[in-house]
Amino acid sequence: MKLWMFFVLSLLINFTEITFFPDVLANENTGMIQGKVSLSTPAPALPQIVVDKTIDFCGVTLIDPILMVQEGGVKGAVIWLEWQGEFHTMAEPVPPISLKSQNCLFSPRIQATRVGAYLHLNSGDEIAHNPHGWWNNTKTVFNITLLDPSLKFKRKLRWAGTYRVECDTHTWMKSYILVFNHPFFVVTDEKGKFTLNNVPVGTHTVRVWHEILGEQKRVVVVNSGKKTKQSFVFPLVDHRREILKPKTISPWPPNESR
Amino acid sequence: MRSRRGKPEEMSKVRPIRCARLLFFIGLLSLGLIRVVVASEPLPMETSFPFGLEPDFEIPKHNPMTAEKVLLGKRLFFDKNLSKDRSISCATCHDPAQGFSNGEALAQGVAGVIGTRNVPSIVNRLLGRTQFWDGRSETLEVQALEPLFNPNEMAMDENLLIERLRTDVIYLVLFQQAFDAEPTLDGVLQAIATFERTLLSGTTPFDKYEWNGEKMALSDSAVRGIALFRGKARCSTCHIGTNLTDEKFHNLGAGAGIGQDDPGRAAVTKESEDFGKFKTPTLRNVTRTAPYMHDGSLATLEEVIAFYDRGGRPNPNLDKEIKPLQLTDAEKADLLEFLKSLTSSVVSVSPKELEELIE
Repeated sequence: MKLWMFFVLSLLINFTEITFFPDVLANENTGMIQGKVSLSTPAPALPQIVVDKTIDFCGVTLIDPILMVQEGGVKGAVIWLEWQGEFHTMAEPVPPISLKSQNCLFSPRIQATRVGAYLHLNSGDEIAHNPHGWWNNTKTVFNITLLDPSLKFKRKLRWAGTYRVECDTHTWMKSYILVFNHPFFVVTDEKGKFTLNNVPVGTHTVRVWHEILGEQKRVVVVNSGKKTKQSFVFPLVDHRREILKPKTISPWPPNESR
Repeated sequence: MRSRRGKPEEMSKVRPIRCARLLFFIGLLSLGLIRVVVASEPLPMETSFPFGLEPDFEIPKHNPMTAEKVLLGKRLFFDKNLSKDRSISCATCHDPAQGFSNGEALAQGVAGVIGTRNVPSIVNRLLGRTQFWDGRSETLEVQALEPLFNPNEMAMDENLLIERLRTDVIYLVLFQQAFDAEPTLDGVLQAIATFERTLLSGTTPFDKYEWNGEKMALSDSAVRGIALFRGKARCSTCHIGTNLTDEKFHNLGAGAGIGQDDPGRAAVTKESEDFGKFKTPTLRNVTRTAPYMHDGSLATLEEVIAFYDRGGRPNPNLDKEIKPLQLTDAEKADLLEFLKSLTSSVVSVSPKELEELIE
C-alpha cells in the first residue's frame, strides 16, 4: 500500500471512530443503576481451610473468604448488563488489574475488567505459589510460577468470560476475574452496594453473579439522567459446580443450614 | 618482483584482506553443506515454541540468540573432539535418544571414569534459574565450562581445545559466521549455551488437555493422576509451573545414610541447613530419563512413586513437606499414567522466535 493511501485510510478510521460511533460513556442519554446484593438469611460462619502444605508459613488453618457479608450485603458479586455485540470504545487503554498471592490466599478474590486488560501477578509470600488461570472452566490461559516476592508477571486477558485462578500448590487458593467486551459491569463493595454509571438509556437485562450464590437477572429500564434502583436477594445456597478442592473442605454451608 | 619486494608493508596489509575474502567465499560455499551436515543430527531444528510452556525466560544480554550460534553450538555439542581423548561429546551423557540423559545411574567421563551424580536432562533449561543438581552455575555459559575441563568428565584443556578448533575448517567458518572471529573458549561456551536454550519440550497430551481443552487427549486414569499430583500426592508442592519444577532445592533423603552422603546444595551455600538438598528436576519427558534422583538410585518411576509414598528416606534434614502419602495401588497407577502424559519430542526452537518472545 502506498504511503499516502495508508495516511488517508488512517484519517478515515480516526474520523469514523469519532463521528459515527461516539462513545456512549460521553453521551448525555445515559442513566445509572444502583442497588445492593443481599443474603436472605443471616450469614453463617465462613468455612475453615485445613492447610495441608507449607503449614509453617500458611498456618494450620485459614478462613476461606467465599462469602463476605456485612450488614446483610454481599461483597464480591459482579453485576453487568447483557450487551449485544462488540462495544466500540475510544482508544483509551484498558487499565490493568492485579492479583497478589498474600498469606496463602489470592487478593482480591473477585474482580471484573474488560477484554484486553493486563493482569499483573505477584506475591507477598516468601513461599512459592503457582497461579494457574482457567478460562470458562475449559482451558488453561496462564500458569505462573511465583517463587518469591521479587518476581512480577503480566498476562493479557484476551477473551470475554470467567477466568478462574487457582494455585496448583495450595489448591484452596482461588480467585475469579470476569472479563467483558463492554464497560457496563461493577463489583459490589464491602456492604454489597453497587452503582453502574453511564448506562445507555433503554431497557436492559441486568445480571448478577456470585461465586457461591450463583446467578440472577432482572430487566430494568434506564432513563436519561435518572437513577434506577435494582437490588438482588440471594438465598443461602452453594451453587458451585466445580469439584470442591481439596477434599478436606466439605460442601458449604452444611446441608442442615441450607 | 623488485617493486613487490620494495613494498613489504603494503603486502602485509593486502594479505589479511585476501585471506578474509578467501575465508568468506569458502564460508559461503561451504555453509550450505555445513548446515546440512550439522542439521542432520536426529533433532528437529527451527521449530516453534512448544505449546504448554510459559515463555518466561531471560537470555543473557551479552549472548543474544542467533541461528549461527545455534548451528555452531549444535556441532560442538555432538563433537567428541571436545574431550581430551576424543571419546565423548556433550551428547554422550546428554543423549537425545535417552531424554538428553545417559540412561545410567551416574555420569561417565573419559576413560570410563564414573561420576558421583545422575546426568540431569538439559531440556527446557531455557526456563531454569540455576544449573547442576546443586545450582552452582547461574548460567548455561558457566555450566558448559565445567564438564569440558573436569578431569572426570571431558578432561580437556583450553589450549588443546582451541588448537583443535582452529585446525578444523568447518569450525573456522562456523565461528566466523557466529562471532566474526576465530574460535575462542568464550565462543565455545556461548554457542553451546545458545544451542541448549533452543532445546524445548512441550505439546504433550497433558498440555493438549489443559491448554487446549482436548478432553480426549488423556485417559481417565491420567486425569485422576493430575488431581492426585496437585492434591493427595503433594507433588505440586515442588513440581509447579509449566516446566513442573520450582527450581529450588529440597532434601528428600535419596541416598542418605548410604556410603558418603552428598552435601548437595550445602557445597554451594556452606549452610548446614542445605545439606542433602538437590534441585527439583523437570518432569517433562520423565519417562525417558530413568534412572531417577540425583544419585540415580531409583530405577523406575514406580520406585520413585513408592519412595515418595513412604515419605522419602528419614534423615535429619528431610524436607518438612515430604510425608508418607498412603496412596493406594490404583492411585499410584493413576499418578504413573499422568507422568507418562508428559512425554513429547524435544525440538530446537527458532532463536529468532525466542528473542521475540522476550518482552
